[in-house]
Amino acid sequence: MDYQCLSASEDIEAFSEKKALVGGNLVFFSINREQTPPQGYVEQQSLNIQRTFTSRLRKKTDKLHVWLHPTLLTLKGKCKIALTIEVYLKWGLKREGLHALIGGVEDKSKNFLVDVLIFNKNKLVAIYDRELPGRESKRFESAAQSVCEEITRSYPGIDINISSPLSDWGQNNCDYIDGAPLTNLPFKNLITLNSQKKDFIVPGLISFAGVCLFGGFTWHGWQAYSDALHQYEITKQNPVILQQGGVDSYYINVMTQRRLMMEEVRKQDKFSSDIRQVLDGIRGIQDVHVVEVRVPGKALADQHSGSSEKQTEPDVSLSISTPKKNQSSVDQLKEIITNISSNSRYTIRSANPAWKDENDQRIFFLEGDLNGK
Amino acid sequence: MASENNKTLITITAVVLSGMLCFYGWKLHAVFISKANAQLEVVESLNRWSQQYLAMEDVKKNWESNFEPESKVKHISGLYDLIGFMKYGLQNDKDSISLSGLSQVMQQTQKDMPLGLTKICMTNGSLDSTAVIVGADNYSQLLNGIEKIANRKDIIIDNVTIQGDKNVPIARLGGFCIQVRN
Repeated sequence: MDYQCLSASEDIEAFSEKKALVGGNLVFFSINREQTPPQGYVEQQSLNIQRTFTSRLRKKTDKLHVWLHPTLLTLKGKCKIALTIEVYLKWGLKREGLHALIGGVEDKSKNFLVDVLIFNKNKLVAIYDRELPGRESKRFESAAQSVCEEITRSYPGIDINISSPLSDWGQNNCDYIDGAPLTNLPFKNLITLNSQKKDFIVPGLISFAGVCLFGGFTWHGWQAYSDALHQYEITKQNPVILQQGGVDSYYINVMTQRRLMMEEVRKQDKFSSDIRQVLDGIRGIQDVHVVEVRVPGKALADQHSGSSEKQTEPDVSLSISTPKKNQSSVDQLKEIITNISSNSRYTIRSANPAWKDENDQRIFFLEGDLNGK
Repeated sequence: MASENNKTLITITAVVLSGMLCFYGWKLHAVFISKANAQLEVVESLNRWSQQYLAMEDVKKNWESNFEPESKVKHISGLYDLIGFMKYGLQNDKDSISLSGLSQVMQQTQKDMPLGLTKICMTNGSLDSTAVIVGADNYSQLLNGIEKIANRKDIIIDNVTIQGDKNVPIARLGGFCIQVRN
């Protein structure tokens, strides 16, 4: 035996074993809390008193409530305990029919408590305790007998079993079953039910936070999505879109092109003002007459490279006539260009060919860039 | 009664469960948000389109006021009236005018897409095969008339040549075309 029995609070202080089988007045029990324990007793997990599978699942079935003597909790962390009542109950529920189990932790000299459990059809129907005098007392025999007789009186024809750690009482109507219920004792750490509840607070909160976050995320996402859907539905009702029967990007493209085309600044818009500018430059120069003004000017083919690529056309090309003078045409041309330049705001140069003589007139070919000065 | 080990196990389970809920919640959230954004983009493009469409109303009006419909031009006389040189104080020899070209105007950026205009080019053929010739009483009137006609969006003029050596002021409008909408 690697455990010791513990049944009196005064033994607890001196107790040094690692495992204890606890009974006697250290344990208080009651079916469905019909009785309440003395002040200070600490509640434990309640026990099923019916041996059916479904009763474990059902919350509202009858339970055997168990409390422990407060002093026992000083052993917390030092010692594992098993309760006699728990193992008796377990054993008793396994047996069919009507039967009684008497158990408890004996004391040689002092009074001690025995537990009486009555089972019927795999259910605990009654449980109580009786105080007996010490095992070596003269009064023990009769007291034990009266416990047994009390059972038979209440439940005629009942089988009565007496279990360890009680010794064999030698009663005729009782069987001594020794330690049969005490195999595989379920030693556990001592805990209070309160602390047990606390054990679940933190994980509970963590789980709750998880559920909340999941719900929050989902809710927020769903809100955003349904908002967007709603907006889409509203937008679809836009009269313009309904009228066009949907989005017509071709129309927009064409209209954009038309807009650009109409906004485009064209050279032709300035043709007249360009011509005026040219004429203003020439007006007032003596003996010079305009033969022709052309905007934009004629581009000349590049004579050097001989390529057909046109040079950029000048803004204007013009031809003017002036009476032949006793002066080289180059000098005359220089003079005219100087005059026009001082008279106007555009740059002017000779075109190619630069001049030709026609009767008594000399015709100069010029080109220029407006606003180029 | 829960043992110490069970306690730890329960806590770990709770943490793992919580973590998974968080993770999948976040994932679900991301899925919803991306779907919502895609939807909003559609909404955005619909709105943009309808705004563009409405903005195009002005362009449409402008277009219709600048360009006469093709249906108005049944023959060359109608075309001539459409140009209306007289309105600008310009004289032109109506009898010698002839068509020199007819083409579809294409878009600037997409050369294969029609803009919706037909370009009709003309010349005073017998005198000069490449230009329309206009005259006026004086240079000022001539230049003013040309200015006005050149500013019309439906008129295209490639070049203008003023002749100073003729008895009356004369200008040659090279590459003269009118555009009508079709």
